[in-house]
Amino acid sequence: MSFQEYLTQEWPDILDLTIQHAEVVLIAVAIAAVVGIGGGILVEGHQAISQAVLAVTGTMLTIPSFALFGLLIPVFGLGSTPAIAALTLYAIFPVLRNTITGLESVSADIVDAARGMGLPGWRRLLIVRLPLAWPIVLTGIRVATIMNVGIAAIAAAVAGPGLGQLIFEGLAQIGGANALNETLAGVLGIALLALILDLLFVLVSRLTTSRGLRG
Amino acid sequence: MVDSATHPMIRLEHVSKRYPGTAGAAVSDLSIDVDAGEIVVLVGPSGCGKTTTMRLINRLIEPSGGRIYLDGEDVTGVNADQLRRRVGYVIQQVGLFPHLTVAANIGLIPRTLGWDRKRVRARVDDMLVLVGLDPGTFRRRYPKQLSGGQQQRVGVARALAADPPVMLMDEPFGAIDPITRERLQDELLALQARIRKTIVFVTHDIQEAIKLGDRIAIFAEGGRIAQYDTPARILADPADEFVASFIGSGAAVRSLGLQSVGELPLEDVDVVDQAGAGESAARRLLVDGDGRPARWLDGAGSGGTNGAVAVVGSDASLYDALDAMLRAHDDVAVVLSTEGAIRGQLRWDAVLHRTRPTTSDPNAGDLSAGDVSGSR
Repeated sequence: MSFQEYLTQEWPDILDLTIQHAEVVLIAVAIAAVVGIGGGILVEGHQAISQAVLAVTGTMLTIPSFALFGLLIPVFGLGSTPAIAALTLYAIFPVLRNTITGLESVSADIVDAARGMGLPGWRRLLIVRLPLAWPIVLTGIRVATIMNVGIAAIAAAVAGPGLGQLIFEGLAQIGGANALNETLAGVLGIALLALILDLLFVLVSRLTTSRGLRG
Repeated sequence: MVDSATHPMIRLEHVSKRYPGTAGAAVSDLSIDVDAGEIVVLVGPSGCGKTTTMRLINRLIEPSGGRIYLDGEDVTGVNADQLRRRVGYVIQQVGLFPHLTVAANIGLIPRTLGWDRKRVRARVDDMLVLVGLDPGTFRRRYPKQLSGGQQQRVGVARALAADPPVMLMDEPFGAIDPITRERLQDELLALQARIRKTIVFVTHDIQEAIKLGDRIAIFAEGGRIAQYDTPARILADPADEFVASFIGSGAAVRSLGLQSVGELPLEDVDVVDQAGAGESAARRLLVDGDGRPARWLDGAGSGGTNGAVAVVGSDASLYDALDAMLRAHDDVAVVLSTEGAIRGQLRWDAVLHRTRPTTSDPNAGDLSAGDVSGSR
């Protein structure tokens, strides 16, 4: 069966897996965004603490994803839950780092002006600092998302949903009928999904960034 | 409300600020009063504590000791954010929020104070008009779409939006080109003539201080005030070597620009029209048919000028008066009222007398007309 024939026959399943894949990634990134932005706000300004937090979350990125998924089985069992948990852990670091960087990059003069005007701390954060840090924070979320689209393929190892299933199935029966087609469909699907999500972020960025900040 | 006549708008009382781990204090035992409606300029070399002093007023820097009073109320311990909403604040890099429109920047504190939408909008437009920007054009713009001077004006509009009695300005014109700066200074003075806020203005530029200040506090190293007085008196009578070197050379000449001719007592002029222009021993001023000075008729024994008359308006500065005398090669200037009528004459000696340090006090320097005419 040629790749084209395979696609014509299997596309409803492939589309289904792609949507599952996107779901797992986006749920994980959403959780990571809340944790990462919240954590970034909390630790920003405390030099020692933020360095420690960045070091710990950064270290998580060095854990091979295959191993991390496996390590989470005793905690979360099989399926979507360990997949989302692992992806969340990976996504926290870019969001957290960019939140801290973003907040630190807001000019001291601007913050001084906000303080001097009598804006209390939380209003300073919501009205001034976060909106100014937002383009950088959003870049962190975008990086986390794209990175997770790739890592999520490994989730199939813990019976997680998504395009990884095609890849793992294909690799398991290498030499057999459709083995190459399945793997190829998985890989291309992941690449395409990453591209679509990336374009989506360009749109979100335009919609959520003040005109006064755009170049 | 306490009667504002009985206390200064701002009072710093024995205020000090020392940072942990540093030997000297940034500001030590500093006391200063700023009266309602005046512009006080804090000026001095960098690191002298002038900015620190300003930031103590709205407690962006908390004092290590001493008390701060605003409009008679001890604000040393009150909620700092609430204090700051009563004190407008303008900084050098303007500090406009780049992600907010001009209207949102100006309306931020009114909205924080819970004003309704309509009132905020009306206030924003009023403020824009006040600083000379057309609301229709500028309301929706973002800071990056404005020139430096326009940003500065929006900064002032924002500081005034909640109608604070006090405005702090930290080198607001420091990063602006000299021509625009000059214009913004003029605008600030014109604005102040209308709104009569109490303004504390920090600069390192003594020229700017002289131009803007009703009073100037000259800071020396260690947060000490070397002299706190009107520009005229500081120029005429610097308190010490430090002040003298800080105001630089040409202080006496510059002080002439601060006093108007109208502040000096004038002598009567002996006026004649064409009909009565006969020979006389005294020097007389010949006027034309409209009563305007035409030329001097030199009497016997007077200094030889060719009749040219130095004429100045009564709102002109002494600097202008001397300039007019030099150009006419004469030692007398005829002073006209704003309507063009002859008010009297001003002698070179009277100006000299005026700039002498011993007579720098306006009350002590009261020259009697008879005194001067006797010297002739």
